[in-house]
Amino acid sequence: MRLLVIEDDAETSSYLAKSLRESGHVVDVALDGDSGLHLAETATYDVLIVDRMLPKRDGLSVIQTLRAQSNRTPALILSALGQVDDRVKGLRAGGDDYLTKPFAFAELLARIEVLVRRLQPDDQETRYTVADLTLDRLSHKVMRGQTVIILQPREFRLLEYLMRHAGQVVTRTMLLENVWDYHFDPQTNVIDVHMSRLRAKIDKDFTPALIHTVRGAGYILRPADA
Amino acid sequence: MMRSLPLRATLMASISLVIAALALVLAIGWQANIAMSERTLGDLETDLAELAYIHGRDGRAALVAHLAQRGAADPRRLSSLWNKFDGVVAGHRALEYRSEGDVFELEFNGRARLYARRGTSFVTKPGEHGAIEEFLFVARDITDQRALARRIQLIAIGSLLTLGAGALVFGLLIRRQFAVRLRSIVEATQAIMSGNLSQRIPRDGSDDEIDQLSGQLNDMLSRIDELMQALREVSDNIAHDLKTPINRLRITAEEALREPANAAGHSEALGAIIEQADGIIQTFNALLQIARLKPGVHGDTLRDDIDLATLITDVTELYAPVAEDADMIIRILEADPTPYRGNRQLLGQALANLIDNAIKYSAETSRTPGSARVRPIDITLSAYPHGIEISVADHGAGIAPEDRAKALQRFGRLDASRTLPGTGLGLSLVSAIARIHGGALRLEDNAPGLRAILALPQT
Repeated sequence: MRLLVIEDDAETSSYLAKSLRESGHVVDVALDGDSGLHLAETATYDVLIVDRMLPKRDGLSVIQTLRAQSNRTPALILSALGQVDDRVKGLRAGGDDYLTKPFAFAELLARIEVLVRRLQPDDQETRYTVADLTLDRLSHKVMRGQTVIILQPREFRLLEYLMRHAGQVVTRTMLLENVWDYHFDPQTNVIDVHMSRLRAKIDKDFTPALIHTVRGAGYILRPADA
Repeated sequence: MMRSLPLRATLMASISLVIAALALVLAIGWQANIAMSERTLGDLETDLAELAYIHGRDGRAALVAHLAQRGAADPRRLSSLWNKFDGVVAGHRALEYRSEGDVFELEFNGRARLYARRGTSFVTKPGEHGAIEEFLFVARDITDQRALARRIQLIAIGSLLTLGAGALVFGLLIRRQFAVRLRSIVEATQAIMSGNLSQRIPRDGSDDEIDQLSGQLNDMLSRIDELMQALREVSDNIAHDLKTPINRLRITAEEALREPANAAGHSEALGAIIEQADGIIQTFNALLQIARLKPGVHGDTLRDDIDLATLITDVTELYAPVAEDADMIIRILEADPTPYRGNRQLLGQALANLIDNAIKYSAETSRTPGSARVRPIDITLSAYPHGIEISVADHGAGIAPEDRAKALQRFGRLDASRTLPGTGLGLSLVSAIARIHGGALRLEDNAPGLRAILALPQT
């Protein structure tokens, strides 16, 4: 994937660039809003990672300008401003996701992967399949092999999200945001409890296990250790 | 001294007052003088007419006799008959022809100022010079009039001096009074500048401009003080409560270093370090959030149209598995659909924190031997005419009345709960969220247990 990091803090940007390259991405870095906008306008990227407070031109303005030019490149806003209204403003300006500093790199990476995938049309599938696990979005039916698995509505949405992003790491915050639509920090690991219930239904009586814990990041749903 | 504002203001006022008074006095004096001169002139006309009448009726000899007698009768009414050959023929010697014209002033006896008028002329019968023209002169003593004019002048000057001096004294007095009033403000501000933000400007209760200004300044100071306090609290809390976990993180790293390189313990330690760092970030975010949740600056974010009953159901569903794992059950006792305008995220978080607390702090007691049954956490949504209350009641150990205020403070973890996980910011965050919605968080006794009530105003 080709990524553009617009971040004025040299240390953060070089750390991001290095870590993202290690994760197999091609990364360009811009240190201020103007040069970032210029790069985003001239080259094609899969995801923009934009710091909110930048010299010369702030991050929201960069995204707004691009959107005004019908440039739909997914943009992830990084910001030290983490209040609810900051987030709303960021998304309203055309950002696709919003991550508050400080953040775990795993969180950023997971979100970038999801943003890239979002552009791809297979999003609209009515049926997800991972190994012998299938989920039918229309009939709300979940099957593992020949066994029908009964899920609560929320468990169904949880599994649906995991399967839509099968093979990608999803973090606890991403799950809370996308399955429950809450952006706060629940302190207790409520998500883990929900995940363990889901695992009990999906994985307990079957092999191989499909839901895996990724330490320091979150969960991933994938067939065996592929 | 001229830099004193009240003094300058008084002086300016007095100067204009003095100028006005001066103009008034001068105008009055001028008018009085004119009136008196006109009267004198009238008197002179009457005298002339009288003398001319005597001449016409009784002849020149009678006039001459009359003039002599008249001069003796009233020294302040002078008259004379004059011709250019003989000079004054009769009457006062000093009253003779002058080149100034018909009306002129003259000194008499070195003292009296006289106002003179040349009067009717008539031709006398021919003598040694033939037919000659003789003139009547009359004069009045105007010493009194002049004295009055002078007195008016003196009064004017005197009152101007008095006025000026009075203005100066008055100005100085006002300045002093001002200085006293302002000094208290200056002293207060100096104390504030030197760091004592709790200092306030004393008010005298007069409700005048300065008093009102003092009140305004005090309100401003209170606001600044609050903000400063909040800022200080945040930095204190960061210093105090972030140091501990950061130190713990450091210890974990050091211990891992002591082990031989590439030991299996290393990756475990690194995992633990990341987890601890996440905890630090969590605490840090919560701190910042509380610090920023100040009333008055969130107008736009409080506009979600939500149903509180749905919110309760959602959050309850989120925490239900956690409760079950702790042998508890969350019961929604009463929650009719209640439309509300507020921030869904913040209210959701508040409710989540309350439920999270209820689970955490009643978990231990719920497992005490002999209490086999599952302990409930009861949620009630009640709408009153004045507001809405969401209560979350547990059956745990509760909080002693004297400790409840402390529990709402930032990092207000009661000693009994220090060992439980959490940032210790939960209840103060709920409290802050309640406040920006115009409500409050109350802690009550559930006998046994704690009843936390999130009270919100109707929207």
